[in-house]
Amino acid sequence: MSFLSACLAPFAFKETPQKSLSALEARPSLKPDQAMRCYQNLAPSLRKLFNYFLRRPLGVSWQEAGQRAEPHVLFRLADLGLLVLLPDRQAPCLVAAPVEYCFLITRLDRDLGTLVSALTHYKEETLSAMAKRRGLELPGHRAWLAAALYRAIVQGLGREAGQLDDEEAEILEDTLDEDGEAGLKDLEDEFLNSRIARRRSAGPEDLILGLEHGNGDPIAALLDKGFLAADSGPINYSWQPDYDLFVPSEIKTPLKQALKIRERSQSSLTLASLGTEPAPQKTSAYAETLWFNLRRIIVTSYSRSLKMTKGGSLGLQPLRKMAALLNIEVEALNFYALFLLHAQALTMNKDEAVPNPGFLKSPQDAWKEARKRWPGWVMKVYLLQESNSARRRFASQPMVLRRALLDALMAKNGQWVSTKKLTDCILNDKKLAQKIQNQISYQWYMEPRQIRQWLKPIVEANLDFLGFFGALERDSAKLVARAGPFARNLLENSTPQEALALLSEAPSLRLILQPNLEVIAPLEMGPKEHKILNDFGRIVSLERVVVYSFSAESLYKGIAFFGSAEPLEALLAGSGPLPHAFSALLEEVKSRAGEIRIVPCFYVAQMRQAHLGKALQAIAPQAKPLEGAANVYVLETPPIEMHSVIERLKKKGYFPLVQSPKAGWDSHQSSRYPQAPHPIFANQGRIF
Amino acid sequence: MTPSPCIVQSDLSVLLEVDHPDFEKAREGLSRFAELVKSPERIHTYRITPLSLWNAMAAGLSKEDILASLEALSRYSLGSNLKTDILEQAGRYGKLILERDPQDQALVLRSSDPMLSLRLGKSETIQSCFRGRRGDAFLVDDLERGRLKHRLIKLGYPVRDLAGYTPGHPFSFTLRQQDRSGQAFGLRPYQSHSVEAFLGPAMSAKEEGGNGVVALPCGAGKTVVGMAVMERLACHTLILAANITALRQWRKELLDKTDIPAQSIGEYSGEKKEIKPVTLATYQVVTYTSSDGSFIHFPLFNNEDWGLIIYDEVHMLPAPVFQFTASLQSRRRLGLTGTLIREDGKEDDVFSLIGPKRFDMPWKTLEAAGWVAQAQCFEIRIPMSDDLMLAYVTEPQDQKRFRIAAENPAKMDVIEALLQRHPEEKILIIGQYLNQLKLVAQRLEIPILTGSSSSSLREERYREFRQGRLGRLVVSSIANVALDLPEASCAIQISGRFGSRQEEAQRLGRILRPKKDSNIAYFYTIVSAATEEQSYARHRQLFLAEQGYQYTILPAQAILSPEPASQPLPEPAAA
Repeated sequence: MSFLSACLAPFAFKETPQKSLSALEARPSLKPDQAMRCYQNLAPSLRKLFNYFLRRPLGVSWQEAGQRAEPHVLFRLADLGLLVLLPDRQAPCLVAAPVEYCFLITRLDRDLGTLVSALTHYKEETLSAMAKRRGLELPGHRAWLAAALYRAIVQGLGREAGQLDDEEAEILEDTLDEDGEAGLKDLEDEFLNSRIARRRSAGPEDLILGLEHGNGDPIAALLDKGFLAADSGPINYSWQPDYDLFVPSEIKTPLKQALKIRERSQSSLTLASLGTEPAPQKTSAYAETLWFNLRRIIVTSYSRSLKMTKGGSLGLQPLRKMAALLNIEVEALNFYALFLLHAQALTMNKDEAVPNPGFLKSPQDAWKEARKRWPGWVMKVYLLQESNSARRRFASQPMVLRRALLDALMAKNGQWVSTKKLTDCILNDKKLAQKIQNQISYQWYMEPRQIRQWLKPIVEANLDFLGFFGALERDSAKLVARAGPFARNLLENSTPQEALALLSEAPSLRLILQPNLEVIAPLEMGPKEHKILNDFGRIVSLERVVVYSFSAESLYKGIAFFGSAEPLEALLAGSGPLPHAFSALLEEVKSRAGEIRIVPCFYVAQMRQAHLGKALQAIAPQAKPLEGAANVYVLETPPIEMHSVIERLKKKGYFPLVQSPKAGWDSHQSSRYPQAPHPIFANQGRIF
Repeated sequence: MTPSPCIVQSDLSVLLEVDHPDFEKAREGLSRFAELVKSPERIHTYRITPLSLWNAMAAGLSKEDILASLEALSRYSLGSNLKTDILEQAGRYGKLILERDPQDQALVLRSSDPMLSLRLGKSETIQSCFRGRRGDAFLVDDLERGRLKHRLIKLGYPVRDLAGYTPGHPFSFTLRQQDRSGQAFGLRPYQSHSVEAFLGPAMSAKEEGGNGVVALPCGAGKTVVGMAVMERLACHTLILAANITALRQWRKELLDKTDIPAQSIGEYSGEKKEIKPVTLATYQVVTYTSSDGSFIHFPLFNNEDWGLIIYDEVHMLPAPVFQFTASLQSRRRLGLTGTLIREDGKEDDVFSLIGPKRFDMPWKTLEAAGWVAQAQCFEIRIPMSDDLMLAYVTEPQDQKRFRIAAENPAKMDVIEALLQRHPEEKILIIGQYLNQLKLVAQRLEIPILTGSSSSSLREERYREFRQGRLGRLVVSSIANVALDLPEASCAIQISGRFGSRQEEAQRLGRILRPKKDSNIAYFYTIVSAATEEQSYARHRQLFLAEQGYQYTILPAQAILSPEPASQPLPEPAAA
């Protein structure tokens, strides 16, 4: 028998009172309809009791319970297995049965909150499976089964305490230190529930409430997120749903003792004892693939820009689309994009993140510029990811700690290690702990345990920081880490900025031209070249190589952008002869581009007197009289040149008025000019 | 050290370098778990899809095998996300098993994943295929077997179908060593591979092979593959063909290359309703509906104990047969096609109802080996007269506008010039519009076959063409598929069905059968320049371009020039 079991032995129902569980279990099974009738008859009393118990989740004295229900009701409830009587001869203690009975009674109300609460419990089949797993007999009635199971779970709770991680143990310990029922409530909220919460992003209530009203199956949603377990089949449960079963206050002391033993039993970890963890399923991807992915994002952003929301973050939809193309997580892409924005590889242009022209023009200079800001901009990027809480942690982080983390990781030769063990290893090193404490001397008044607790998030933040620069790789759940190939370089040979400069290298590599109108380009090709290919084609696949597909439409788009196909032709010329289909299409598009030419605007000058036309022609010789219209001249002049013409007219002492065609003729002018629009304007839209 | 031949992209496409010394080895390796998407001259693109992974698992590969093989072929290390995607998708295979309960032979679906089981129990679309539960398993109606598998695949979970197949009434025969003309006959290597791939590693009633699609280029001998499968399974077989011509070609091939007696081959068509150990039917007849809308010939599928159903030209499978095929899952099903492109995008439905693609082969690989003719493709662009162009640009309806361009009378001169250029070739002139075809036939005095031609007339014309008594033939869309005229070595396409890639490939396929002498085939497409017909032509050529075919684009002058007609046309750029 383990220590904890021994501690819990007094509560293991060895002795049974008048209405003992054993006696209950010995009773013949009630039929379900009988049970339901009993529930309904007893519902008012029971609900009152449960309301009370729900607020005070642990045991309540017999006397206290008796004030809220007649003793015969209590006995009747206990007889049905709805309540459990703890074996205390002096003051029998009554423990609430699982909350699901509350559901059984109140579910008729169809109250969503109750439903949510109830759904966090197992169904009958699950209870059977759980009981079976614990080696319990399977009595016919659900209530008795639940009672027996409850007893087993209480025992299991003690065993579980021995397996808590540090953080959980600390929470539990702190909670147990508190006196009174408020502390017990904390135990439930902070320890048990928070433990679950850490495993999941949102609770079952959030999930249910998040479902659109009337739509969606809450049971399916809960199943999907793991809040409910399967009813049948092989069971692979941990004990997580048990958190809603309440811990009797009497086990506080044995739990405390268990925690102390646990602390003593923790051996001091060393680098050698780190061991090797299995490789994770998904990495957070910003370590070894950092440089590679940054380049892919820049190449993609030539044609698929990221948009900024009003709130100042990158829009989720564009992020999702780009993430799908790149096959990286949206969160990671968001992180990369922010990095690139701060590294000036991307700039915000009309709320869209687009490749920085300066970066395109001279990547080296752009990076040099970025480098000057060291370490400010790097810090800023990092803190963007880590939010304000990280800022506080980071402000006082000791360099020695970061170095120690890297040393420990590199000692494992790139193998995966548990970050928890790594942290323990660092924090258990007395010399290192001393150094760290020296660096944070203003924390001298802290107790050792408090310092340890305070250091933990700092260790986490530093792991993230190192991961950010490619020094280490982490899994998405942040359970394991390993040193990346850049680690030593970053530490010993170069700065992160020098590593970033890798991005700006633009080796000239050959393209592969395919007859099916595809061009395959190496990712390492220069950004200028990628931009040209993006402007004339579209990306269909992107990894180590980028596959561009071309069509008549995409070529038109490129020609419209550049004014000709020359940039593309010059780029492709270096890669051998164009496939016939490709060159034929290009020639066709070139020959047809501009077959309809649309002039954006031209100016019509109307003179009050004929001589003013001569004055205009003296300044702007391109002004031509409009045939059939007296004193009207047409200027085919770009707006920017028109501005200069007007300025020169003013200098000559004339008073020209310029009006946008969109504005039409205002009333003032119409009083002096013909009522009908000029034939030129009347023809708008039908010029061709 | 030579770098590996493949580049694996994060979207699970795999680029294979054709000129790499390990190309052949890599192609074989990849084809086990990836689908060939396109095969232009320098880089072939494969795609790893859930379906291709499940097929690989069904063929006996493990997840680890697939990853190891991919890593060995890949030039760069595989991204962790990519590995995860593959492992996750491949891991779904085998979670659902469909089998017969040994006690009462009821069809049951079992899941090794309780969550999945729960999900299925709650899904309305899936639930409708169940007729109850037996413990942890779901009872499935036999008629719902196909529909259930189809829906589960859509849901992302393949079913490992171990329920087995109906063996069918036995019927044995053998393939001849020599055909009836005395020429040696045997399976080509790729045909043998197709048969093995279809039947699976071990052929037993419980194995998972025995359904699927074999995709081979037109003229590569898909009928022979079908016959070889029939020989191996030795059972009563129903063969569904695209039309009566194809049906009779099947009959001719069966008599020519097998020892099946003529009286054992039945024809179930508009003319005859015979049911024999080997029965040939057309899609048209099985989808014939009575006045009340019911398919009166559907009992053909179930009234006889077929052990195998062959869907010839499976890309043409009509929707009613599609639906009915869902209920035929207990019979082995073989789909044959040259171009599994459906312009309605229902390729996946073919895969899930008939079965996955078991075998395919790049067209150019077969061409290089001499199994199909070497095709030279030309697109000839001719101008439209001013009057016609005016009519074209002012026509508001898209279809009519396209037709104006397609029926450009100026095409006639080019056709004549091409006929002069190829005096010795057997030429098919293929078009879409009957008026245009009739004009061509009338002016050039060439026999014409259209949908309204009687089957006997068609047979006679084809026979004349095969025997060399007829050198040219004008044909409508009836020649798009399943027309076996091995002697045809030149096709002139004068109009087509908009941008249909499938039609383009099928029409080229008419002339791809290997030739005795130079083994070269000429494929001309005449389009009106600067019109939508030209744009559609580009789209039509897409599939063939992805198979490595290059079109030489010529102006009409290149054909109509006064230079001798024997002047060779420019050849496509060398691969």
